[in-house]
Amino acid sequence: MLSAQRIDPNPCRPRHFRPPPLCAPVVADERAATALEICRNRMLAAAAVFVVVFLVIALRLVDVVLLPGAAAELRLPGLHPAVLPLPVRADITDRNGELLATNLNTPSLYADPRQVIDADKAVREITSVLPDLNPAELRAKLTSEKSFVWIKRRLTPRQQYEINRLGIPGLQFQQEERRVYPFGNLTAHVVGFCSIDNNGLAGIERALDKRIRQSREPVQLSIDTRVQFVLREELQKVISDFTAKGAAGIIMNVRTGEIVAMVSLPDFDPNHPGRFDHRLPPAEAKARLFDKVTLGDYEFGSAFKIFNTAMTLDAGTATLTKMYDAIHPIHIGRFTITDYHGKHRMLSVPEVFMYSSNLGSARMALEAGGDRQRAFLAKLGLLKPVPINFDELATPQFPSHWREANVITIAYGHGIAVSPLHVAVAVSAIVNGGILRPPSLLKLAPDQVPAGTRVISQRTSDEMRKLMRLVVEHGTARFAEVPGYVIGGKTGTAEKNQHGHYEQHKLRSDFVGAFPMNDPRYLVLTMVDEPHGNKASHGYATAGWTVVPMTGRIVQRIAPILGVPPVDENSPAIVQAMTLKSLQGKKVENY
Amino acid sequence: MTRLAAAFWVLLVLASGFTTFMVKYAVQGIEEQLYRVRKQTIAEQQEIRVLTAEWAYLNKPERLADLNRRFLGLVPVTPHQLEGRIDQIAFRAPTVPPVMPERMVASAAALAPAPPIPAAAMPRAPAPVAIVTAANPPATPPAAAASAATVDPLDALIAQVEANGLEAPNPAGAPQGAAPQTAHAASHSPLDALLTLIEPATASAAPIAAAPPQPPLRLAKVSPPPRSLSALIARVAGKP
Repeated sequence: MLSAQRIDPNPCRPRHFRPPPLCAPVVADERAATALEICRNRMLAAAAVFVVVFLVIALRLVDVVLLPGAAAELRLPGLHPAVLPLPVRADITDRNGELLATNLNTPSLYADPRQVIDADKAVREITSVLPDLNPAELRAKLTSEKSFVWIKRRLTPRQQYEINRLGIPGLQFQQEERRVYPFGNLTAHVVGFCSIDNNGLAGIERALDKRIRQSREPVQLSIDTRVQFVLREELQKVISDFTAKGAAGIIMNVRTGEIVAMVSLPDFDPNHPGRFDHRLPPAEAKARLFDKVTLGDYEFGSAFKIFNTAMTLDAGTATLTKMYDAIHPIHIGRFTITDYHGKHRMLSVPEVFMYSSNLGSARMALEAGGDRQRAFLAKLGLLKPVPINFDELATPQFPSHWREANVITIAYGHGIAVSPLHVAVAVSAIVNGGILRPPSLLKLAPDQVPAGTRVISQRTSDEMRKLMRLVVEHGTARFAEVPGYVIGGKTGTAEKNQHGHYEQHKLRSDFVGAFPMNDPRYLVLTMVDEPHGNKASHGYATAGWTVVPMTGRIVQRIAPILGVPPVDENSPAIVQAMTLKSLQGKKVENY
Repeated sequence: MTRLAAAFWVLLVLASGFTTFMVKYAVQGIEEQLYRVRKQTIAEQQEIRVLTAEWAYLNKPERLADLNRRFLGLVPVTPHQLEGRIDQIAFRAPTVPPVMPERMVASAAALAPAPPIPAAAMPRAPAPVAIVTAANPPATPPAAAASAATVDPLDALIAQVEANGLEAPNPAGAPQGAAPQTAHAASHSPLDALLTLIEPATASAAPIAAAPPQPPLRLAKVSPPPRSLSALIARVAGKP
């Protein structure tokens, strides 16, 4: 039992509480005294509780009223600073700043199945607004035990409105960023596309995925959409004119290695890539994703004579005046090598090149030797993937044992398969004075242009330019001639190698050219897959009738865009720069 | 006294409390305003992003080509439309010729650091025969060269031709040696425009460019500007 005397020494007692004086009249009634004591103790406890509560209230008051920030943060969530939350992926633009890929916020529809009351009714109503949903799948989703299921992502605002109007309980929207490609098919293979969760899956989106996620600065490509459009339109035209299976093309700045346009047809809409494109059968949709320019390996046929001739001229085993036998066929193993449109006489090197003589080329290569040939192709980067920041890259296919038969066929572009990008890069080096630069899909500032490595001498490059000009003047590519732009190049027509043998009626025609040939600035490589001759081409489907005229049209359209002024090709300076001494004054026989 | 002090403090507490709350509410109001503005800013930014994408979409080359087919019918530029360059076109001669003696003309040109006429202020593409872009920069700047012309025009002309390694044009087949022709030899220097201004009579007959070879200019022939106001009126009146 407590007494006042026992409380008194407590040092923690409140000040206002004074114990009864010791001299107070002693209450006779022990019970009354005890009751009083208990009462006092309870009051003390209650007072303590109140003190604590008021203290808390006071502190909270100070916190809420006087200290700034805490409350404001609660009321204004996520609005500091007043800028749009950064997109999850940076924009991609072309070299002139045209928007090729950007992000837009779109609503996505999800459901909490536990809140859905009538699943059957909900399925009926939702499919009436979103008819492409599978009712059975949707029903399974809405009756599942989960608390979150996606119903459809990336709705249009109109669809969102319609769903809202249905008023189905348990359906919710979430804003999600969606990658949008305003130019659609135009740059499909270059820019690539993203998964629904914004992971880069193809093209630049994949190659620069990290950079696009981390930095918000737009990625500026070297592509010029205007040039890209011209290239794509002309390739489409050649496909429809010659009922071809596909086509590909690339336009490159030979001085910097920047790729100005790159098209592979048929292509796809990156807004609905691959299997998401329901308008096409799955196999077809998948085939369209294939980038012929970077990922395809092809035998380029006679266009390889550029490398063969450059190799022999640079090594010094051939000179422009040397004559080669184009009379006698070459027999090797069970094969006999002849010329397509043989001249059946001795041909000089310019003639071998201009008339595209397989025999002459083979003999030039044999003279130089297989080791030299292989080393030269390796130096041009034709035996390994192209050094470019891109994921879909072809690994060249070439014989592991470089036998004599291989030397012969590789001289005229058979038995070795490389991507169009390989050829474009290597030919750029041949015509630009002999400097091999890695290609770039990103716009380069003048000080970013790589120094490159010398692969052939300036003299060989000059000679090669003259030879390539000759092909357009007198050889197989006469339809490429456009007054003012001094185009030069080399055609190639290869029979397609299917299941180990060559199909005579399945051709692949290609042309690689550059302009202006007196001082090349741009290279145009075009290729068409399985063209069929038509009336206008007199039934021919060779390069000279398909891709060559197209290249002329392309050059005529893109040169003003790219700022290449036309020149007078009959002016003494250009005639002198483009004429071979060995042919000077001679009448050149046309192909 | 104690009561007065107590009342004072109580009042002070009340007043400060009231002020605090007033300020607090004002701040709250401003913050709400800020919140609304920020919300709107974000909405506008979102809108801008959508519009940018739409603008890109509307500028699709395919669509523009289609619009062109339907409304404009423009065709690709052919090479012969591009013959000639902007720097091969002569500056337009002025309509009112000031009369100045030859000697004054050249010295005025030498003194003027930059001709204060719009034509001379125009940015110029590197001209093929401009003295400043010659392979070997001449020891004397153009203005000085022109002042030398006052000493002996023919000598200056020969010196310039040697420095540039170019053929001197002989405008309109006029005999050389006069000061105006010297000025034309130095054509495409900033002086050119001023001298053209001063000497319109010979300027209209001046060659367009002095660079050999000279691609033909396929431009509509511009008749020489009238030399006086009366001539101008006569020409305008003469046309229907």
